[in-house]
Amino acid sequence: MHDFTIPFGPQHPSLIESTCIRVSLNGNYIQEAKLRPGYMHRGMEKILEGKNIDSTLYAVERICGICTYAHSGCYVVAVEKALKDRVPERANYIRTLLSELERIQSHTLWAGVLMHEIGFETIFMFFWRERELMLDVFERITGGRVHHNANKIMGVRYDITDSDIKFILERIGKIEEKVQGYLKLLRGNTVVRARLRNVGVITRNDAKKYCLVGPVARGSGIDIDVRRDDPYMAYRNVEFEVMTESAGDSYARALVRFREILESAKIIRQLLKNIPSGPVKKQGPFNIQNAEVWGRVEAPRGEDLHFYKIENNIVQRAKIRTPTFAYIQILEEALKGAEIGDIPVVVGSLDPCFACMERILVEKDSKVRMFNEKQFRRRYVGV
Amino acid sequence: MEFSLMILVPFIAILFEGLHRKLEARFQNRIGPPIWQPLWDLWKLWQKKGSDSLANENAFFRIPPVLYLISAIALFMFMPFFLVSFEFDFLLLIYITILYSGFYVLTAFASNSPSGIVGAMREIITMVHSRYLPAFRDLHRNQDNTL
Repeated sequence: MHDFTIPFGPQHPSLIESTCIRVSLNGNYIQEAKLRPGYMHRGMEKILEGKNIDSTLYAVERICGICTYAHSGCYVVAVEKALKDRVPERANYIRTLLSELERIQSHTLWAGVLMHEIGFETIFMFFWRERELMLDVFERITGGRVHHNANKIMGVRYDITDSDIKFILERIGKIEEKVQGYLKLLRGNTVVRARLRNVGVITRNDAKKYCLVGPVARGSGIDIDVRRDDPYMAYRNVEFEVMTESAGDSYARALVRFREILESAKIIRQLLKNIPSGPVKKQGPFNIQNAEVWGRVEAPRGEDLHFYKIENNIVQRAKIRTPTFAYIQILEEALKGAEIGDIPVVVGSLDPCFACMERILVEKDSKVRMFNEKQFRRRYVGV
Repeated sequence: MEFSLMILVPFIAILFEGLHRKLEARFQNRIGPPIWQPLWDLWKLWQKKGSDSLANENAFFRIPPVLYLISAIALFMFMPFFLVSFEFDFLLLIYITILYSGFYVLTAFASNSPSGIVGAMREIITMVHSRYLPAFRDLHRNQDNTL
């Protein structure tokens, strides 16, 4: 057979987001894959510079469209390190609750996408129907389905009532029952197993070498989870298991995520049972004179790390290491030797979020060009 | 009789496509498009002007669609349909099906895009695996049984 190099993308390469994977083929098999990002660059770190610490919170929440709460949670975890006050305990519980609800939401969305990639359209629709259960909870608590704006420095904006707790427990019960059913169905399905097993294998050594995070690392047998290793918010007060699988293929990563959904439901039950009473926020204003702070949380896709340099309440420099930024380089390694039809499955099983990840922009003629802030905003932000 | 049915063929095919989409949507917890949606789609596409690249200017790219249509019609004539008489020959049916898919693949091969060529190769592999190998295997088994 002939050898070809074909571009996979940038329009709709299995996910909706734009990115380009150049694959060199030997017949039906991939010899080499090269990722060419840069299509979704928004300059988020630059946008954050020069903002007040209160208004940064809103911009930070818009880094990602799926794990919105993880980013704003990470921001408050970081910034509150510079303040001497302690966050009210009830606020910590509500933050943890929202993070776990978001994990369920994100994982059900991902499960639908993966099933769509392998052509299992019915279960894709079912998963997205179950995701609506979680979005309803968000809408009831915070008023927003995707962007919640629930966080404040030193607290949360919304409290939860007893009727809310009842509502959440009912929804959690429903989703647990459904996901358990689907998990049983998928485990028994030969086609699903054939499409996912031994596809995009990441060995334990590779996972260590590439410093993978989150479910991708846990699928390769690395026991790593920020919630347990470096507890933040109220994770100290709950008991949970970190899910790991040793196989390292797409099937293992899928299983890790499915079991995490059930584990999140367990955490939410504990939180709602033990939630303390008291205030949920502290009155500001809060002043940060000069500080360099960082914080990390476990976003649905893995460890999310934010670094901020703050002077006189203004963010001078922001550095954001999203989970996808940490593990996207393994994509090229995982695609080597795979069949061309497996590209969507491998990309889908990693669950990358390209818009959060992109930090660089390549001009076509590769000449150096300088943008000032105004030009940059006009061209890439549209403001 | 056969030719009068021929006129209805596109409409029946479109109706089945629409029914299929509706039924699938109901299975998937969706409402789905109207039953005649494929017909409206076809009507809309017919209004559009043709557009293609000069790089694809060769006979192998131009002729196969016509042959594709001809083989599709021929396939219909040999299908075991109610009310449409035909002489049944299974091997001939398979042969026309291969031709039918072959022209489809040929168009992709003749196009000047590497994606087209890779897609054509993959189509051949899928074709052989999913249709012809099982078909011939079943044929072989039937012969064994008769013997």
